Amino acid sequence: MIGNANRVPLTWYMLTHRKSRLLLAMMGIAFAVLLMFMQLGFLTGLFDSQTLGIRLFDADLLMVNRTKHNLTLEEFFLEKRIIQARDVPGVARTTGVSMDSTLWRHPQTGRQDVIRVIGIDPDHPPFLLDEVVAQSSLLHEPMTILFDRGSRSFFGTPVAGNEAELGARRVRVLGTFNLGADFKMDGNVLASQSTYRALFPLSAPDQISVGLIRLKSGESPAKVQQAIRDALPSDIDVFTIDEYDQIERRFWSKMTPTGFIFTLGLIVGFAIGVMICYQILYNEINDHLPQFATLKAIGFSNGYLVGVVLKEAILLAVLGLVPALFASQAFYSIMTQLTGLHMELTLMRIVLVSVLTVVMCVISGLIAVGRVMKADPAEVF
Amino acid sequence: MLKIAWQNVTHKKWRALASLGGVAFSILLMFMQFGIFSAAENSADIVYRAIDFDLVLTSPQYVFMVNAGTLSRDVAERVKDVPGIESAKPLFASFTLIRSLEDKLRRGILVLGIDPDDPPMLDPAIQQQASLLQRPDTVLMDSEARGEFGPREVGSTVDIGSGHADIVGSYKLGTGFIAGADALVSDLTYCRLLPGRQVDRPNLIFLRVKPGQEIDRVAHRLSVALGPDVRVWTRPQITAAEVNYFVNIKPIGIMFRAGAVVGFIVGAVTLYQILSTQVSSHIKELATMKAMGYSDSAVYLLVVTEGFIYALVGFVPAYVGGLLLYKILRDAAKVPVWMTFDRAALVLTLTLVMCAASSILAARRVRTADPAELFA
Repeated sequence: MIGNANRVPLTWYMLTHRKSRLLLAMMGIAFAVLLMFMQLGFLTGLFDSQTLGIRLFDADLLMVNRTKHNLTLEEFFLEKRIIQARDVPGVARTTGVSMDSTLWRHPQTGRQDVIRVIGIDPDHPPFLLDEVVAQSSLLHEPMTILFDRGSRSFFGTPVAGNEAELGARRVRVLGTFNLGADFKMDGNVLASQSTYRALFPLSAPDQISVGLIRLKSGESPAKVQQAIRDALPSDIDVFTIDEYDQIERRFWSKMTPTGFIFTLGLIVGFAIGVMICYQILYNEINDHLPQFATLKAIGFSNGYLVGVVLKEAILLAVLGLVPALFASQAFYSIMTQLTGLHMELTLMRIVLVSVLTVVMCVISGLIAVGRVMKADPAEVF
Repeated sequence: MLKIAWQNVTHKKWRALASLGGVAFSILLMFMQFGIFSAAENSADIVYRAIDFDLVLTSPQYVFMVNAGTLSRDVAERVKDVPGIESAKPLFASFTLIRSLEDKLRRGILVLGIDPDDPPMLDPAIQQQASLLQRPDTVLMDSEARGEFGPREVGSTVDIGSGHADIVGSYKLGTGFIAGADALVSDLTYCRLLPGRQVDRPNLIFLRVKPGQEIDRVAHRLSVALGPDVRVWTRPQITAAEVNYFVNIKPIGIMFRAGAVVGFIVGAVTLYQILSTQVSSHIKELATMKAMGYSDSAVYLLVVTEGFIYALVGFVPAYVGGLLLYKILRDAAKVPVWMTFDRAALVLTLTLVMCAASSILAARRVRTADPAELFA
């Protein structure tokens, strides 16, 4: 009926009519979005940090104690299992990794904190990290370590050549790498198996934590996995990297209250967003009721008016998202610095939160729009 | 004045309800985030609170209760020679795995080893049942464990650590963020279920000081007698260390603190948002009041009263919602969070302050503006 109505950017005019109110509205939505980003960041930061080490293993299959249900639990198995696995057809090479924790003394402050020690074969670097690959062989020298720069700041910042105290023994730092802290452990060092034995004299010498298995090229992981399970005693189990990643994620999401809390936080963030957005739109509509009624009186349909409100809602979502993105980026880097956990603003997460934000604004728009539909031109004036 | 404020609030019923919903939700958000943060603090010393002690001995390697290091063999003996000690009770603490009787999966559990003749815990249920643990390979289970640990009825046998144990009783503790479940065993069973542990090398020794003895003096005497291989803690010291570990060092504490701060900011922004729109929606009436001769302070008093009405009326459903939310967190996630008077008072105070401040900020236009201008 009125074809050129869309040429007037009505939505924009209505929103920007009062600048200070728009600013307030933007801020309200931005904070709700920040709240969602925060909770999502915590939730995914938890998962990512726990599985990063697994993802970086230079392996196709992982061998663990049959009872091990997450990497941070100290469960060991006999080293000879990883040697036995070499005889299974399809296996190219295997290596064992030991993990245990002990106290590290901050070189300057003298403060002691628990750090994870990863015992490796210096000829078989366990992680697909350039610095680890390049420096592993240095660890042949007894009582030397590589220090994880991603460790929490209270461990200090040792550099190559520094002496340090680890498990009440003197060790020499030969270099650094970057892996990062996780929920359970605040930092890592790499050492050779023989240094590891010297640091943990009480642990059984023939036990390891994880076996890394590389397959000959072209072999199917699932087939070799089954072959190893069949060939070896059942005190160990073998998983593909993806399977073990899933086991670890399931553990952290289901077995600890943390997953529940952050999911709840995400939902509450969304609800708060709907609330704020509704407030804003309700007031917008209320204040512009005469204008809406006029539009109606001159023949615009209800559908058109609903469209205006929804457009307003989406515009608000976008306006709130932009500052929230910057704030979240800053928040993530502060949290990463404070906790040593990996919190990344990936594209997927931005898309997810953006969709949630638009949905949130549209829902509140739909609730608020009832008022416009009922606007009786005669009554308003 | 109160009457006008009340009429201003209730003048447009739907709008008032929508605003009140927003206010209530902001308060609820604060309850949630503050509560979760307090649960991390609360979890920290949950086991220590269940134990009767004045002083505790650990190795100097102590990090937190379940990573306490091991005391050397003769400590328990040497303590007996120090005057002023009434009792010394060892505790063993470690994480191990237990297999659920339901889904057969193994999950991490906190196992505490005690002397079955002389348990350090205050709980009468533990005191009464501890002697049942004299029989090897028996266990008391915490009935407050998370649901996925499955049924743990007395009489059934569980696969725990590197052996099996019969469940002979239960107690109520709940270990919050430390562990999903916990169990009590005798020191001997502890060493059978966890290879490598030695019964004469406990992780902690809890001491009671004889009545009339000054705790700090006894602590000093112990440090001198036991030397640098043993760390002596008073109850406040170890509690503070434990809370510090969970709140300031573990990422979870840092995250929950950040959550509490952001929760507060979002709450504050939402409240400001709501109240400022409320005030500006009847800015004309306020200007009229001023034109009629009311002073600035009278106008401010009116808007602040309105702010207080929103705060107080919004607080009631938020408080009820908070109680409900805490119950869900306790039941579904075993998060140790309860409504405390302190937290309720803190949240109410913050809400009142924010509501008043928001109202004043929104009304300052009245003070500077010429009444006539506001009708333009």
